[in-house]
Amino acid sequence: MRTKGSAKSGGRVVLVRVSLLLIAVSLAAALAAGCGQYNSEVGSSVVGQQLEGVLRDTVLQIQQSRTRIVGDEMKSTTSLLYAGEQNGMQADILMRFPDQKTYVDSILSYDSAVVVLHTYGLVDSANVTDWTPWQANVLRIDEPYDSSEIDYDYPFVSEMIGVAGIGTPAPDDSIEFPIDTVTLHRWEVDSLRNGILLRVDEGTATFLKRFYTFTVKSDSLVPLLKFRASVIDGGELHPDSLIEMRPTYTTYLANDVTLPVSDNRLYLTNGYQRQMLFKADFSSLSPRTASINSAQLFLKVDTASVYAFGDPGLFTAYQVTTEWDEYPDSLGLLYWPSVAQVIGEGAAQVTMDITDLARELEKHPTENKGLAIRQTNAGNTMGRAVFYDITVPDTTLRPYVRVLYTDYSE
Amino acid sequence: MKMRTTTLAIVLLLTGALAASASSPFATLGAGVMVDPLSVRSAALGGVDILTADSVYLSTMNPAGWNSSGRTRFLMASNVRISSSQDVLSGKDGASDLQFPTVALAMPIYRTLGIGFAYKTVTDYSFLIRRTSTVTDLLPEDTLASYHLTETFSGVGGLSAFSSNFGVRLGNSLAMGVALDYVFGKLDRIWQMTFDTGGFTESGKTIRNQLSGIAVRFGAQYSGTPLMAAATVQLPASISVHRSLEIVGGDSLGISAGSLEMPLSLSVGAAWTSGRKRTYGQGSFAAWGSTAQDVIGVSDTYLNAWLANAGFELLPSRSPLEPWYQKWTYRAGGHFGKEYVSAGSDPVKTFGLALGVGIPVRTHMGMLDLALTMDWRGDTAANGVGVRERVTGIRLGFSSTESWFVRRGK
Repeated sequence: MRTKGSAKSGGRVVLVRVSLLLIAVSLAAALAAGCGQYNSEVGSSVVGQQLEGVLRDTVLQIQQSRTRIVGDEMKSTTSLLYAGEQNGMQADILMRFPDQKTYVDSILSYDSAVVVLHTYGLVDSANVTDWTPWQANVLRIDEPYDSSEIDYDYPFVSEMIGVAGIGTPAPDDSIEFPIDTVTLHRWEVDSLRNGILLRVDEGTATFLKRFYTFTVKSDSLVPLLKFRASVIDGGELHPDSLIEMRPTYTTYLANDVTLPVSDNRLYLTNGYQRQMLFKADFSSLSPRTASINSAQLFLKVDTASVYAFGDPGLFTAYQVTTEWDEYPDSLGLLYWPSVAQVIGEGAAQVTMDITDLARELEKHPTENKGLAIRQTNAGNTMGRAVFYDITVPDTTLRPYVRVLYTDYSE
Repeated sequence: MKMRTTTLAIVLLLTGALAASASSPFATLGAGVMVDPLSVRSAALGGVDILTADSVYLSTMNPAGWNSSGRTRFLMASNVRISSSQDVLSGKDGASDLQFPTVALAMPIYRTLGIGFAYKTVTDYSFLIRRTSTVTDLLPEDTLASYHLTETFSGVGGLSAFSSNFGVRLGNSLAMGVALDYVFGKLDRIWQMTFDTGGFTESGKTIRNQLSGIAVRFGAQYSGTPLMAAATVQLPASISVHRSLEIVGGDSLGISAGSLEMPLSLSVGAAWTSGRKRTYGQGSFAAWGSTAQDVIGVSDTYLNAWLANAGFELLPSRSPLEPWYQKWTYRAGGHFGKEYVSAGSDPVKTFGLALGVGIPVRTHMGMLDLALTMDWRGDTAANGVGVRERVTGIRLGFSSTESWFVRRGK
């Protein structure tokens, strides 16, 4: 016979077991079906047009454009050195060397010294017609300077100490030129720490050469200062020793001021920097109804231009954040990482994806001060690309922005 | 005993909270699909609810039933929904989910005065409609290309209510009550367009609606023998809507706009008891009118809604000598009616059948209820709504009386 207490206890057990079983069955049923939502077109007949945003395609004309000359700037990360002159673009090489005492305790006498450069090809060699060898003046720089301020026109305090026959037409040779003993003795004070400049006189060179920089790891390719000297190192005399020094810094200085100011063209140049500025009106796209899927800047290249040469390199679109004429030398540019484009040689058209930037300009029309096409790594290459401007009579050649957007207006 | 009840309640609450909202293509209309915040007993009676309050059960619709019954009454319900929809345009789809439509607690205050609180789901606003298509010759120019894109239209949210109920019994058979419902929730409509082809960015629009407001209901219940009768009136209420708009890549705008105008709603019902057999009937009408309301950022046509419910209950034998199955309560019911919104110009009709059983849980002086419901909404007629939804519900509920709060006074 069951007691009252055991009956209650049995009832609780049954209740709890039944409840938990039902919960488990319910959860299993819910989970077995996988999800709580439909995932197909079912329901579209109820909502009709509400389901759809309407895809639209529109062309925005460029209202303003300009070539912005930045000029020669410090090239902190250049991967090659350039020297010579080609199609009006000039380049000189600057090299600095360490204090001699970082290698030896003291130098008793110098016998001879040379600088060695290793060639890494030529620029746009297919279009070079005159392969006459050229020379560069070797200038010893005698006073310190701020590296961030130097450019092609910087007034170095220097003295010519010789010439360097580096302008050979070979694409892979190694070239030596001497350093005079006066300079080597001056080195004990500071002169080679200020560097030497290989300057090519205007009009003397007909092509540009490329050389390896001091960042190359290979000893057989890196520029070197080689000299023979009698030295004391570690308290011992080492007569007639060969010492090879790597530069502490190398760069090149560029000049290019020969382009026409107004010829219905826009120019992108690298080495000596020219950027392009564009301003398109996004106000026809309402930020309340238009959600941009794609915005592309189309640029037509003047492939026949006599000013186009070399490899302009990798460019990207920046948002211009200041008025173009307010501070022309320090134009505010905001980087948009989503955009980058190689301007290849011979390309007839360049398309840049500026979707993210276009969304920003659509959203904040008062902040639309345009966009700039500029180098991602100034100085890594030397070259020019020539584009048709908005003033060119043939309207099909003008730059424009094409936008694909979803229209959510109802 | 209390601990086990509480633990069971927590488990049910957690399982309900983890579950997704119920997905329905009809949730795209108006403020979503109206959810029956019913006890499982009421669900098994075809939706008859305003007559069902007694010493064990609570009615979530009729506050008169919240008068003091001497002990604390506790109610909770869960519902596993397995739904499938047939769309004349796009085939079939299905989903399942677990709902937790209501939990309620009523307690005696003084003599016949009772008070109680309930949390209940008012509408479900959950849907996802996905469409894929191919578009040709969009971008870039001069290129005939195909782009695969996917459009989705989804809804997230729903309305809930926290209800404060006051009931008093006048004499032995008549009870009156009033309820204040704080209605709140979000109704977010989200459009998205994504491209499977590279080069295009996702677009989209989201309209977010936050709703809140107070609604008032009155109720009366006559619990005689053999006749029972009840009626409720819900006064018109204005539920304020704060809306914001977000365009992907565009604006994010806060807009204070509009309201959901809840209409005057009436429900009347009666039941007749003959021996162990009780038959129920209930009718409801909500005077939405026949107007277009822009409640959630799009215009929907709201219509007068009505619902007719009928149920039958075989009450348990009170004889201790009867076998266990005679001490269970057996239920059946059905309903048909018209929803408060239309699909286009077509009214959405609804129809349902139900079966259920109530199992006494003597340790809690309560009932464990099970119900199986089948509901149909819409139609696939050529000139009709275009979508028919069938929802199978497996419902589990628990109603108990506890000694947490007991009557004071006579």
